[in-house]
Amino acid sequence: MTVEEVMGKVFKMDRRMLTDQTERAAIEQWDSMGHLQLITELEEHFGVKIAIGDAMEMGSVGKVKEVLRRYGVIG
Amino acid sequence: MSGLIRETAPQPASDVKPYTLTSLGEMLAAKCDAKDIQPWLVGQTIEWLSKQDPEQAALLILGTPQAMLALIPEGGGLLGRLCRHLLKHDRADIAQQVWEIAQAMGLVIEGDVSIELAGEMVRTGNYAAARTALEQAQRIGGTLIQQGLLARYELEKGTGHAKAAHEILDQIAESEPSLSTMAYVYRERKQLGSRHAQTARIALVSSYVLDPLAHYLDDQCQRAGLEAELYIAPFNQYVQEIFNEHSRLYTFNPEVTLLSIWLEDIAPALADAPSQVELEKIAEHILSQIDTLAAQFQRRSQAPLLITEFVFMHRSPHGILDNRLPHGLFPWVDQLNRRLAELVLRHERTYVLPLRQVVERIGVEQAYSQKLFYLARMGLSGKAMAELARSVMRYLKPVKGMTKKCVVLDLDGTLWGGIVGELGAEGIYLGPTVPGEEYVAFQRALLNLTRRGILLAICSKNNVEDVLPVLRAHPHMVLKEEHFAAMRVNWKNKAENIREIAEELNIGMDALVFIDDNPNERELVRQMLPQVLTVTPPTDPSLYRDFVESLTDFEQLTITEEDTKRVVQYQAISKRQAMKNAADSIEEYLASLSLRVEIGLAGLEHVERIAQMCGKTNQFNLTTRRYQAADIERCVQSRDHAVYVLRVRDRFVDHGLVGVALIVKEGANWRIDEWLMSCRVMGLTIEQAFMTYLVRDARMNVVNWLLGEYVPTKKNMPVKDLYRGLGFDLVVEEQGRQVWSLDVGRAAHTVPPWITMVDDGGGV
Repeated sequence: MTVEEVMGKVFKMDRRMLTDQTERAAIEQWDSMGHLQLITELEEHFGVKIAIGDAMEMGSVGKVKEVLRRYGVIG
Repeated sequence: MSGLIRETAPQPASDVKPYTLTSLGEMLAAKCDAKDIQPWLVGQTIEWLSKQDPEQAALLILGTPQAMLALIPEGGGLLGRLCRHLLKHDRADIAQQVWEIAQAMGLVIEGDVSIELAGEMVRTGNYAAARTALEQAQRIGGTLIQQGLLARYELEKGTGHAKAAHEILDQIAESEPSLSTMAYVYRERKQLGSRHAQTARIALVSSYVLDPLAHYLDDQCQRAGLEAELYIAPFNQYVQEIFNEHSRLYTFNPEVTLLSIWLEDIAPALADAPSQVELEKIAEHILSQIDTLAAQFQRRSQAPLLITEFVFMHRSPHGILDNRLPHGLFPWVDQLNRRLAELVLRHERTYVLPLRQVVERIGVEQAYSQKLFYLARMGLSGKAMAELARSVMRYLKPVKGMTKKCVVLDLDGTLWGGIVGELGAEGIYLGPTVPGEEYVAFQRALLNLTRRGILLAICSKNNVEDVLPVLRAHPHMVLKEEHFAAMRVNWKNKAENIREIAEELNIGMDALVFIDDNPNERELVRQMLPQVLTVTPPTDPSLYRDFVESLTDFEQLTITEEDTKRVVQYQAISKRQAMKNAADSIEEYLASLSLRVEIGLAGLEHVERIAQMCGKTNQFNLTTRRYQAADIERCVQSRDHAVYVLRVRDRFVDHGLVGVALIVKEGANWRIDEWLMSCRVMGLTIEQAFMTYLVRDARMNVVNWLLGEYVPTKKNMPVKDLYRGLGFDLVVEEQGRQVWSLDVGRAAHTVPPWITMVDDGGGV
């Protein structure tokens, strides 16, 4: 699954609505609890442990990708 | 056209000229007519083109006659792959057209593609096609289970099938109970609207973030046939919520309240390896706070209060010496929890929920994440909350009067391995080694249920003469003939047999759990007797024991003497039934029972049993007012009330306290506010004896009228005409609720000749 697909799954929305520019504020379900859900799901799917600083940095789809890229799990 | 095509391998059949894939691409680029191409080449062309330019490939497909497409080897796979490429290019619209062609031609497309397409079809409102795609995917199978369920859900929701939609949400939650899925399921359920009539109000009060537990609890309630209403107290406001009598916690009026305090929230000093003296101070601080909270809560709410155990999720600061030191941390936590369990015994309706068992079942690594705690003050993971929610259900079900009373069991493949009719008593799998050991363990777990007052019954398609030797003489049968309160071993359909069992034991169908390894029997019972809880045991019998122990339907908030005696009592009922069949008349039968009835006013020692009866008596219950222990206690002590209790004995057994009547004294009238009797003594004319007693008491108190009420429920039809039968006149009836009256002066009740009244007026 791609990052968009995982996020689409977590927030139960069409992945095509998500672009790198999509911000946290733009997605209703992406509240603090939604953020936890996202991190849990990303960790499970990509088999990584996301450090707390990185987790707090993930404020948009692009930022999420950036972090995962640093972890070497996406291209 | 020939100028575009070079001649190379692979070797074609007969007179067809060989083409390379590249040349085909060129050929298409030159817009040659697809109809001119040989069928075997169409396949290769589409395959190649699917990867390069799926839209072109699709155009080719759409332009090719179906008769020619049908000649392509493994066309289903080919079109499936094409659909996949189209989806990747976000051309779901074209993919749908290709899928429809495959459908029309009877070609099978892989399940996952159908599922993905179905999602699209639902989104675009093409419900009919989506349904076909999903049905097909279900037949073929695939890996996208969750996605398929989501599409099916959207489909049912979109077409207005709320019930079916709810059922798919059940499956979604079960297939992947993650935080996000459960949040989604919860949101969707709120949109779909309620599906059950009965509600359950649960309050969550905690020092840390427990909000997602609401989603798990809601799901558990849905499965149990309850609409959950949840109140989540604001973060870390547990003291305020409990102390302030006007808090929303109390206005919410919960039926069950969970209080969960994180150990390090209440005792931050634990991080600094406290000394023995300091630890004792901490323990006293914690316990005295809990003591006050429990007392405060109890004063303001009738709801059971569940306090979670304290868990320490970290390692000891003392390393391996921890359990050798007087100030070892883990021994201290053990002791703290033991003291907590003792403390709550001093408070009514207060329970310690064994959170450590919850955590142990899944392990600290899975149950707790330091990161989640830092990020959101969330102490427990989704997995842990799922387990905790199941644990809460164990308390909620008895509060809602949903505790099951009897387990109906199949034999072959359920209580033992193999088919006794074929293998004989010696041949079945049951004994100290596998296969066989797992069934012994299962039987032990069932026997333990009888120790808690749960009845067992057999419902098996077998010949009795094959089964009895096993029940009576098999050396490894844990459950013997006498452990079964009822038995149906025959070739009739199981629904009919189960109905008979319920009748024989005089319990409602909804008090039964049915366990059978055969899915067909389960399906039959599910359909014909939806009130019966038909559970699905695991296919592997080595999991049977854990399965039955994990059921949350057998819990009681208290255990009384009556519970432990119940199995014996029901055996007596079976014997009574046998006599009933033998006796010529009902009078003769009743006379043969040597019934002895004892009636008197309740004392404080009866309160617990009375409350238990109020909570679970359904059939002989005139008003079904579910009074709690505190209410009963007030009535027992009040001058304006009289609480009568009734005890029955027959020649087989002492039934114990099996009848309660709550009288409200309203001047010259006595109103029977609640009257209930255990179904075990129904049909024994005990009510006549009781009314005789009550009329006599009323007369002594110069009462003019006895008023009786009947409030209909789904269950209490059997006593609808009770007051009429006892000589009362109907005064008023509105919305099914009836008020009856009896002129005490004219009443002429007598105790039936087959009942002996014992110790008039004395204690019971």
